[in-house]
Amino acid sequence: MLNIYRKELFNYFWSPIAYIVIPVFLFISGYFFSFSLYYLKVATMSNAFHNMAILLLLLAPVITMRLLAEEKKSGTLELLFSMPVSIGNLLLGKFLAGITLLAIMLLCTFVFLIPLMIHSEPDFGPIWTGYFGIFLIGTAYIAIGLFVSSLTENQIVAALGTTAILILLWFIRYIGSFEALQFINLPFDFISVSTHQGEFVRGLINFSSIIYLLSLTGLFYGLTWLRVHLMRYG
Amino acid sequence: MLDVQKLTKKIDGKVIVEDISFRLEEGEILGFVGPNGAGKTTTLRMLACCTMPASGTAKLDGLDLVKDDMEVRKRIGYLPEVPPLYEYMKVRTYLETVAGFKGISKPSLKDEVDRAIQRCYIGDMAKREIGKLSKGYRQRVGLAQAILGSPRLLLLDEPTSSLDPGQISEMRDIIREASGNTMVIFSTHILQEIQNLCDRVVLIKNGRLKYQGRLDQYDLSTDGQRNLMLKLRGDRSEIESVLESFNSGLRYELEKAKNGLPLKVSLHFEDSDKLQNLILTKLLGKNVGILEVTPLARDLEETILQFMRSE
Repeated sequence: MLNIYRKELFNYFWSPIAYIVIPVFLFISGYFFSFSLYYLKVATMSNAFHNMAILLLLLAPVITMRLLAEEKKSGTLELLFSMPVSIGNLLLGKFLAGITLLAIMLLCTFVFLIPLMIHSEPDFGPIWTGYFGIFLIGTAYIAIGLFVSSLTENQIVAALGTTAILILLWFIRYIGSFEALQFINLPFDFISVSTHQGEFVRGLINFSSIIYLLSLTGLFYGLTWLRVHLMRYG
Repeated sequence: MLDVQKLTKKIDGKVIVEDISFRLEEGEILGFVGPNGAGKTTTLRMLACCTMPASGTAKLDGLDLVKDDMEVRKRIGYLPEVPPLYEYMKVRTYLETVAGFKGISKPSLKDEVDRAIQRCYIGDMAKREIGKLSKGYRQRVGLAQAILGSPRLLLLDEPTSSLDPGQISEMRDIIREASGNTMVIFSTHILQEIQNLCDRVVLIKNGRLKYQGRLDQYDLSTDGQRNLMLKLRGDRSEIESVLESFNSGLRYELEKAKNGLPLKVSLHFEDSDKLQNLILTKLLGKNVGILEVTPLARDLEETILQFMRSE
């Protein structure tokens, strides 16, 4: 597992991915944070977390698009299948590498706390819960991206497919507000990731939100395992 | 030892490989020969644990391919037709990474990588990025990863395809050296490879095994024809009249007579002891001396081409 993890991290930092994703994430979330702090005079991280979650809808697919699609296209998945590497270790190494890049991105945003502390006395409760929430959401995004990457050899298709699922999961709560669709009796509010993100930003650690996001991660991680298992043993 | 019994693979209900059985002993090099789509790659992929058989068994040193797949994987080296390379890595980094995947422990990892680099003659490329290497070197790097950890079974899928003649010759030497105590199976279309490298061949067509054994014995045993070369002493016209008496049941080529030397004649007829005895008896009846009777192996290329074209 460690060998896979190291290889994936090496690939992130050898290829332009890390050098594009991290600065873009920092620059755009930093812009909105500054706008909120200096223009709207709101000395909290809540807007920043909201913008980070939206940014991740677009950037998480870039992190995950090559994880399995590239291996399939280049034939190196065949190499891995012939090695004494279990599917569990293979996927865990890749998943954790994606999570590590996500964590690095989030750690970089800690610099936002410096101007926040200079200009106000922030309540750190909602800040830590906000970080916890965005990390859990990012983890679910990575699991979804890993699954979509296992379905295709084309990285662009993997990225677009993941983005489509993530956008659907973010905005699905609004489906319930369409009168024409109210006959569909589903808890859209609960299914929507944006609902749970709001809870964390308000400083609440809602047990059901944690369970939901972990379940989402587990579901897509499990589907990926099943898909790769069928490829290897099918 | 590798013992393959009735290995069968189906994809989407279609039979790709059916009832393939063969054995391979230590140090043996086995050539997999067959036209495109014959099932060579699928068989190699099954033996490399990249896909599982629908039925049948394969045991490597007593370990079952399906039940003990993780243990089997530790004992094989596999080079697919397109070398599986991480283009962004340098050669040494790539080999170290693959050695890690193979579970080669840290203390011996460096030695193993050095040995593979040395055996595949890629020392001067060890610090180069794989994506910038020529096709021949990429193939060698692919082979180097396959021989890492001294596998018991080395599976090479068309390792010399698309290489130039010089590179083919080098690759052949590397494979021969790599074999040592290792069992090697490689698929190829190139006849020189079979002649120069293989101890035995397996001929596959339409997913079925058609022949296994030494290639120079193939035409004597399977195509229904018997080909003999006779050295005779006697009157040329008498010999011709005897052979002509068999009409279309016998084709022959008679060499031009050379002073004092026996006549050489090649005979091609139905694979039958009775017919052979009849020909020889008739010749003896005309007082023709039969000095030598030798089975005649046809040209290898012709043999393989005939196999590829046959139904």
